[in-house]
Amino acid sequence: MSLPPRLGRWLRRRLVQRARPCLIRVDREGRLLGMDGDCAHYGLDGLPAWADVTPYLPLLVGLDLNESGAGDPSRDVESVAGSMLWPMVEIAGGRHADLLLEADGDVTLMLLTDADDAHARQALPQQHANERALLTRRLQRALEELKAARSELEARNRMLESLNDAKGRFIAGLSHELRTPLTAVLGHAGLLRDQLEAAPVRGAASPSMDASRESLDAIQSGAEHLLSLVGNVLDHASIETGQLVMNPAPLSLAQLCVDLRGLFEREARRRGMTFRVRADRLPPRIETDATRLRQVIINLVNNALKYAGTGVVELKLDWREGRLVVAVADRGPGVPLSQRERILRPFERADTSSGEGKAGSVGLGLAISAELVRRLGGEIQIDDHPGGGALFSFSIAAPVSQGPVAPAGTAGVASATESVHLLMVDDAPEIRILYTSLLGRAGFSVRAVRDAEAALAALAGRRPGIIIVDLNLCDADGAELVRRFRAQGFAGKILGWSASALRADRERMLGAGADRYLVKPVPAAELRDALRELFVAP
Amino acid sequence: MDARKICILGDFAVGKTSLARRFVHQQFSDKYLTTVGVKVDTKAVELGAGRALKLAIWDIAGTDTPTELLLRYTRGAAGFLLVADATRAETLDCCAELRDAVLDRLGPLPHILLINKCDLEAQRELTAAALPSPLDTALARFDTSALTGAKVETAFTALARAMLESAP
Ligand SMILES: Nc1nc2c(ncn2[C@@H]2O[C@H](COP(=O)(O)OP(=O)(O)O)[C@@H](O)[C@H]2O)c(=O)[nH]1
Ligand SMILES: [Mg+2]
Repeated sequence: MSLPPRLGRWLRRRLVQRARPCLIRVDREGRLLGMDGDCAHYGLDGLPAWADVTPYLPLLVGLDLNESGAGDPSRDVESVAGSMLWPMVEIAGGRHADLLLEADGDVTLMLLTDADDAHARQALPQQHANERALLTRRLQRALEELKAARSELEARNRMLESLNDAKGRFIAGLSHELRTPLTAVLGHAGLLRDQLEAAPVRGAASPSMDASRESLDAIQSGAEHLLSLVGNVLDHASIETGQLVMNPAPLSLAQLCVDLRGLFEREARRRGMTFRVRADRLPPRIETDATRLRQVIINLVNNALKYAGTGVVELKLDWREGRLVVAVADRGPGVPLSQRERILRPFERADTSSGEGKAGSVGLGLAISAELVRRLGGEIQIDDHPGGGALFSFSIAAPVSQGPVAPAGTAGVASATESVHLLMVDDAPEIRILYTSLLGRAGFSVRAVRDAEAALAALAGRRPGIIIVDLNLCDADGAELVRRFRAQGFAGKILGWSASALRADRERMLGAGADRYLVKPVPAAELRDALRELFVAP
Repeated sequence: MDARKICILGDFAVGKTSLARRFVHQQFSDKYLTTVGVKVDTKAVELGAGRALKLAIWDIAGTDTPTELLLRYTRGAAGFLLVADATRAETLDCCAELRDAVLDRLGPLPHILLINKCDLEAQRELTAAALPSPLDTALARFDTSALTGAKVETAFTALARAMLESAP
């Protein structure tokens, strides 16, 4: 740009005004040789000649511009050895200056120009940029920590789950182990009792017979108690590991009432109480998991007998629009409102329980009942019984069964099953002895063998109507054996059983061709019912 | 009194300005004010036996990579402090890079590593340990806090002594 001299002079004045230049000359020792320009702006005015300037300009400490010789005047000052530009240096009084240094022989020239404006312009954006970078960094870090925390939680969760699974499997396994010998104890005690009752009348009154009967009572009630505890623990483990499955089947409600009366009337009398069943408008048969429903009712009635301790315990069954309504009422102290939810959880019991209730119970029964009712499609309610006492009730889905009508009476069944030949494959001798005897008395003709080889041989002889196969045989897998029976053209009914309540085992057995699956120990009555149903079914 | 120029180098916001402020004025502010350009402060340190040294302390605006301008500011320095932020591990890498560039430009100079903000125990990412291997050229490492003042004086004095010994 070329300017007329007058404008050029004006522009120069203007730029100089803005830049507020100050030129200082010092010698090698930093002593002031001379000053020119706006020295006051930089707080340097009033310095006497030969004064040491480094206290005022400490940035000169350590600097020796002459060490690399004089600058080359033809080149730009910033890129020449011996000259140096330091922009935006904060000097005394908080002012900012651009500082240009140049060596000229023994003299150093320092040109200061104002940089306050430039500093003010840069400071804010720089501040923002840095703060943003810091925030971004902190955000990233927080996200990483969250991610790490989450994956750690997930890992811990997986570990807990697998631990819990292992615990469940262990408990289930242990329970199965316990059930088989308990089955034998109970079954044989039952056989002994039958023999005792069938003994000649004169012996029945003898003191030794009474003692035997008492021992038998103790054995049976002890074993039953143990079995129900094991059953509860197993059920709880099955629920926890998601193994509990419902098996809906036709159930005769009249038969259920008869069974429950038989089960509790004597027990209630023993306690000086009364057990009553009231049934209204019941269809003959409904579809539900009979075993589980029975288990829940037995648990509730047992609790009522235990906790009420006195008066009437009433079981009421009602059927309305496809639902079975069950209510168990007692005249005991009732359940305080504050505890109603709690006692339905595992290992909790009402505080008000009397001495007897505490002993021998692990606080699982009610929690299991609550879960079973949930699986059956209902929910246990706890209320006050009008006039005092507790009222436990629930309703479950119970469609009227289209299944085969049950054989009318015991006599009819006996005659119907008389001709049925039954093959039992089980490697436990106590089981073979027990059920051979039990089923023999129910009118079946039973052949019991211990392994697959013997079973296949037996099949070649007289064809059985029904085969009972244990899942765990000493020489074979029960499910495999079932498959071989079917492959050899056996078209009769097969009942699989085992001490395992695991869903996988049940499905394996049914998948191989079994018609039903029962979990040992199977009470004699239940086994008879199951066999009758199989026998009657098409 | 003898005078030496030292530079405080490190990534932005590691606490360079705060360390200088603590050392020179015994003050601390938790407000962050970005340094633009440089600020030069002086302080005399007593080194015992009647020896003393005046330090011209250059607090240079932080950058994560060494720039030409930054290296120009270091001219004439007799030693430098490398500052990392204990709560940001990556600021240590930045120290190594700056160290390489400065030694390359100025030749072998005594330098010391400061792991600053050690008062923030809970957020700590750089653990208290010996000198990290990429920075083993440093004379020493100090875990400092401009907030509490811990080891700040020690670090500056150690550098002063080292400079005096390397070029009396
Ligand atoms: N807690 C804590 N904060 C610090 C310390 N040193 C600096 N800070 C803070 O860190 C931020 C950046 O400090 P500053 O000295 O400006 O960092 P610079 O960019 O390296 O000069 C400011 O908010 C300071 O208050 C310290 O030792 N402890
Ligand atoms: Mg700063």
